[in-house]
Amino acid sequence: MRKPELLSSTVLACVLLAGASPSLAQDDEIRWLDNYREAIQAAKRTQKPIFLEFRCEP
Amino acid sequence: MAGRAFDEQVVLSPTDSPRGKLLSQYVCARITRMDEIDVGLFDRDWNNTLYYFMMNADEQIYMRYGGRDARSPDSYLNLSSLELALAKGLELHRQYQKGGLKNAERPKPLFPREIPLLVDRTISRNACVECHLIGDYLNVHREKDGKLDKLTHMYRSPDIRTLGIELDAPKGLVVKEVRGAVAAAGMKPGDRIAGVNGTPVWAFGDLQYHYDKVNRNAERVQMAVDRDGTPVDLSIALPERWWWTDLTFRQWTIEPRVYFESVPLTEQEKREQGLVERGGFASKVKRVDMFAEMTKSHELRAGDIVFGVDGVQRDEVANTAELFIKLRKTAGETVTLDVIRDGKRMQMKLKTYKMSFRK
Repeated sequence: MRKPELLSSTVLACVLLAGASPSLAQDDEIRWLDNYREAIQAAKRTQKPIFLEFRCEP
Repeated sequence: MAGRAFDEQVVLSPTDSPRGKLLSQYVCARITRMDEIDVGLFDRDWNNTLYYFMMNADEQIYMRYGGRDARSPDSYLNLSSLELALAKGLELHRQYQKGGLKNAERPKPLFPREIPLLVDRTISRNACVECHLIGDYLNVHREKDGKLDKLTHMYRSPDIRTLGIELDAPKGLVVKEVRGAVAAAGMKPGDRIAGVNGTPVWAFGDLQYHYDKVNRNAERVQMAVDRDGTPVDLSIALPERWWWTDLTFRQWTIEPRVYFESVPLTEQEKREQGLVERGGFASKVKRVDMFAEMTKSHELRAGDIVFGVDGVQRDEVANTAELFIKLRKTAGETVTLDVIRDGKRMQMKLKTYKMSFRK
């Protein structure tokens, strides 16, 4: 019975792809910010580089 | 939607996958609204709906990943090449932290709120600032100000295939096949393209962006390649109309829509028809788009020869009547065509159309 599993991963994908709050990300997922300034601040804090995606969703 | 599957695969990368392990070393951000973004810094071909930058907190850009061609929005999006690019981005970041990379000069800032047409037609209506609108409205302003150079601004992102380069997409900038201009210049399969006119390139997004910067009147472009660890410089003769690309996928309001495709006549064919030879843009209609009839734009038929537009028969750049209209006329303008149909000369009107955006 795989349907509930499929449904939950689809819902999760939709939530993430809608630019949801990074706090929703779980341990096995990459945390994605949806705000450029926050990304700059996080990079300053962590000394990490930034991987910035621009997604146009007409 | 273009790039959706790729986008999902990247965003949902599991942390224990090779891609996830690379992404975990970055601050990842996914931006879907351009309102507060400096589009001067993140300049690109605005007809890409998906595009990536590797950069740092000082807003120094290490690399661009993405880019498309007329064939498909996904031609150069590939998870393997993305992983290579992510690894290279980390290496460049380490170099930067050690002071080993020079800061690039920051381009002049430009925010969407500074583009009047974008404000008027989009931002003030609280509509989404779609990427293609940024490119289009910038071009509309250039056209109004007499600063539009169609070869540069409308024919953006020249296709490297026109030079004869076929990349091995999963391997990033590794060349799979060579033909034409690059073969003549000595490029070989297996070479990795490393620079364009002195600027290092690390991914296809870089290559396309910097190749687009080549002056449209240039006769040559310099490319550096890495051949089995040895740097090799190549001077490539740019073929005629190397900048030309199929604009079909683009949404430019500055592009006069003509709804037909034509192929140039040979010099022999021009002679047989008694037409202007060298430099003449006489061309045979290959295909008429259904929109020609729907919009009553023109009554051209496949097989017609168009040899003049508003009395002009030659152009220093255009080799077809279709290209002449796109380059020399303004969208919405009506022109008079000189046509040969079944051996008879005639004139007919063609109304060019202007793309419109419904919001």
